[in-house]
Amino acid sequence: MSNNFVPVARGVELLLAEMKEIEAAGPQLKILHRFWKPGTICLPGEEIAMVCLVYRAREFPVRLSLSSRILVDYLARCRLPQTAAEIERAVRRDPFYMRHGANGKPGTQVRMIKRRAVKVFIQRIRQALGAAFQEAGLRLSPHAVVRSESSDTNITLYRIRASIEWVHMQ
Amino acid sequence: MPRILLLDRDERHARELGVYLEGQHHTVKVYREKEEAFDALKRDPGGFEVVILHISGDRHEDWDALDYLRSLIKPGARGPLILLTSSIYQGPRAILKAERKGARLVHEQ
Repeated sequence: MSNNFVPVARGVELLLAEMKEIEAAGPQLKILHRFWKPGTICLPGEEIAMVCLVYRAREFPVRLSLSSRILVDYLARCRLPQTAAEIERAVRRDPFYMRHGANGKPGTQVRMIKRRAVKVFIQRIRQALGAAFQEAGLRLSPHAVVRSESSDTNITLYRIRASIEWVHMQ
Repeated sequence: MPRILLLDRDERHARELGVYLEGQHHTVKVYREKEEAFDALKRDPGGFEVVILHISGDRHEDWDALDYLRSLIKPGARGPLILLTSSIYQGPRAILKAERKGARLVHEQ
């Protein structure tokens, strides 16, 4: 009889290993850039069209506004913890965000991320991620993925802890 | 040592599976009645890493139990992972249905 239970024990092992891996590296997120020009990669003019959670070979859209998508893309690229002021400055200076979506609809897809609004966007991103986690049946707190950390001077630093893949389409 | 809640109506099967999993270095708490299992989860949502729900066939009741289990885990909370087990092969549809509900289904051999 006990031989019959081997698949059950392996199933338990797999579930625990899967969760351990997700907790260690974060979930897998896919960021889709469209209006891409062949032969280039992440050049100004592309648009951050969508953010998806990838879990067990399925994609679950993270329903985000344009500003929130820009913030996710920036934090995902930057990797380092960033203050709200650093985020505002960097997005304002980066040609990728200043010409965001220009290959498609010039001038309509640019958003400024104001430092005072960063906290609100972070909360919205967590909400949307939480909804995607729930849809996927993934038991993970969005706070563990979009992290707020305090600096020695009590300024909040933000970062995203996830495995990120950028995908480009025309 | 991972803690497992096993919900299984079949007394003999539950006992044998429980003993086997304990032999695999898991701590297993067996419930035969779903209400008791749900109460245990409500009392201590973080008390188990894995919930095993033994399903004996493609019965609505079992899938309803899975839905109810999922509803006990608050969004974003670190709740248990759910594994469905079946003594009979239920085909790929049941496996996919379980995955859509955030669980995994394994068939005993």
